[in-house]
Amino acid sequence: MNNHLRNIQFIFIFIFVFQNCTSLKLISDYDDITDNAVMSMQEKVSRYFIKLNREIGTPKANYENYINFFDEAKVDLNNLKIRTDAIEKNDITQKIVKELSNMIETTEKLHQLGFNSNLEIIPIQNNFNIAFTSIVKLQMALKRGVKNK
Amino acid sequence: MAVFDIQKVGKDMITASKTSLGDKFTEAKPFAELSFKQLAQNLALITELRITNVIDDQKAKLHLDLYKSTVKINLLAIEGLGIIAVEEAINSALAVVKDSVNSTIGFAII
Repeated sequence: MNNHLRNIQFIFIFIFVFQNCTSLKLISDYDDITDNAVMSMQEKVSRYFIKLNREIGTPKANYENYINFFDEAKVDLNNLKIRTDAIEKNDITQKIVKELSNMIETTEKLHQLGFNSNLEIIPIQNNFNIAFTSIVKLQMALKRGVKNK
Repeated sequence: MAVFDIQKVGKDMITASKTSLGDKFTEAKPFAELSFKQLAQNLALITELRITNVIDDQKAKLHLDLYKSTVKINLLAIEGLGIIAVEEAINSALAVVKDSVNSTIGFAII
């Protein structure tokens, strides 16, 4: 009789535990605000390169004329940092935002030194394209994960 | 003018990532292969700009800093894709157990 009661207890404990463990979470959920902020940043960076490519070789390409772009990018990235820091299990996206900030700061340093040729822009733009494609790929996978739940 | 073997650099990057990311790499492999090829091409381009004196040492260093951040973002995304795949696999397995228990008992107890 005691064994029978113990078995019933075990079954209830198993059901209770399993009900709370039927899905495991290893990474943050998809966040619409983060995704939109990254897309907005990608658009601004694209505009920067299009404009710069047209203006290289003229005084219009001087760093002083692009300070607004860098200021806006830094504000957007700081907002994105605050957002991503507030989400649990989001360390991968937090690290990505940090590296994206480094990329903007390094691009600013290069622009301060001045661009003498359009050729100089190509690897910088390539880097941003690869970085944004990687981020979009991750965001799409996170979004697909939400749909599957 | 490529100053080094782009394909070899791309393959070396894949090998290094496989070692550090382990099983998590498999799911992201097609994306990783494509992006590593692009990264290797970009590294070749930076080297070429320096050799042909389009950029000086100071700018070359900044270009490489930018490149390193890009590689980090790419690897972080690949790691994330792997984690999502592992999470999906575990949750699918848990769902099978749940279905199995419920069908054995005859109603949705879990």
